[in-house]
Amino acid sequence: MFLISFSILLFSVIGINNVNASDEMTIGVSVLGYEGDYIRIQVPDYIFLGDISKDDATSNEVNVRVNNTGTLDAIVTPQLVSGSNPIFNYTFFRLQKTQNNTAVPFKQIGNFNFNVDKKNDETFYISMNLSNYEDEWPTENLNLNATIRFNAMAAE
Amino acid sequence: MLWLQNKNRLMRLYFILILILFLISFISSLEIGINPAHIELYGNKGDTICKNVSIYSDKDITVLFDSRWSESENSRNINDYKLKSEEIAIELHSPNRIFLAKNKEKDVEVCFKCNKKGDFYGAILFESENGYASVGSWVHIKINNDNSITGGAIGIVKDNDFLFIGIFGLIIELGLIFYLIKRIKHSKN
Repeated sequence: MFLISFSILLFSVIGINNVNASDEMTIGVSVLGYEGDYIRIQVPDYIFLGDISKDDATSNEVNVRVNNTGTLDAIVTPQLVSGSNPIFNYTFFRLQKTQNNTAVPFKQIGNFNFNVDKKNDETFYISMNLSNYEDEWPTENLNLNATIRFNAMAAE
Repeated sequence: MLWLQNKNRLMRLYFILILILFLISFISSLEIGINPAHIELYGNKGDTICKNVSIYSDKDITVLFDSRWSESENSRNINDYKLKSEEIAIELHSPNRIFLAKNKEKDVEVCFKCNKKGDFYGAILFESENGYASVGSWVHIKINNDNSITGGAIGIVKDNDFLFIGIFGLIIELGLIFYLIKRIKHSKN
């Protein structure tokens, strides 16, 4: 009788610990660090570059300010909205006009971006230069508008 | 005295002009934002994984949803992100046009279904419909074939030592049962 009882007890103990080797234990983890931080920028909605012609192929150089009201440093990229007149591909940017008494070279749209620190602002200069424009010129005295989109993403 | 009065009037006009110009610079601008700025997602091939993002505008505007993807790992230049989601076998499920009421954050659920295994680097963008501003979040999605990693979970498979203990225990149980049966038969005899 004792042997039977002991056998049943031993059987039960071994049975509880007899696990299926394919069982999986799952733990959950939340990736912390980014929630709560946000990107937010303030950009002007209209920039007028003045007149431009074949004889004077360079427009006014206008100073523009972008404000970063978010909690992260941002990288801002001006982009030409698709469907815009190709003449606006000749839009150029630079952060400063001069540096160390030397003229800062322009960067063409598509190759220019700049950083704006969080809770700060940054200015840059924008102009058009059609000196190297080889396609057909639009009809003279035509007011052309294009949309340049300022895209803001986290700098890191 | 007259000159002084004129000077005060001029100063007042000058001040009002400065104030108007100052206000105009803010009236003619758009503020737009997004939270979070980074999205990390893990999933299995064929699963749909989603993330809520919050977008904001200081004006009543409509924004258009877009995404771009890159072969460059972790580039922070949006111009490097030239691929469309269908080019890398990612399906996106999100409202295409979203109306934002001014000064109110709006939650938008963005879902991804990746039909290939691997690491994917992209950006989701919310572009103002009139076009002059957009904000986005960097996206990193890691897709696996098997079920050992799902959502934010890490799966752990038990060690093979437990398999050995299980088999050993089973042998002992069978041996005991055989012995008991033999004892019972012997008792009856």
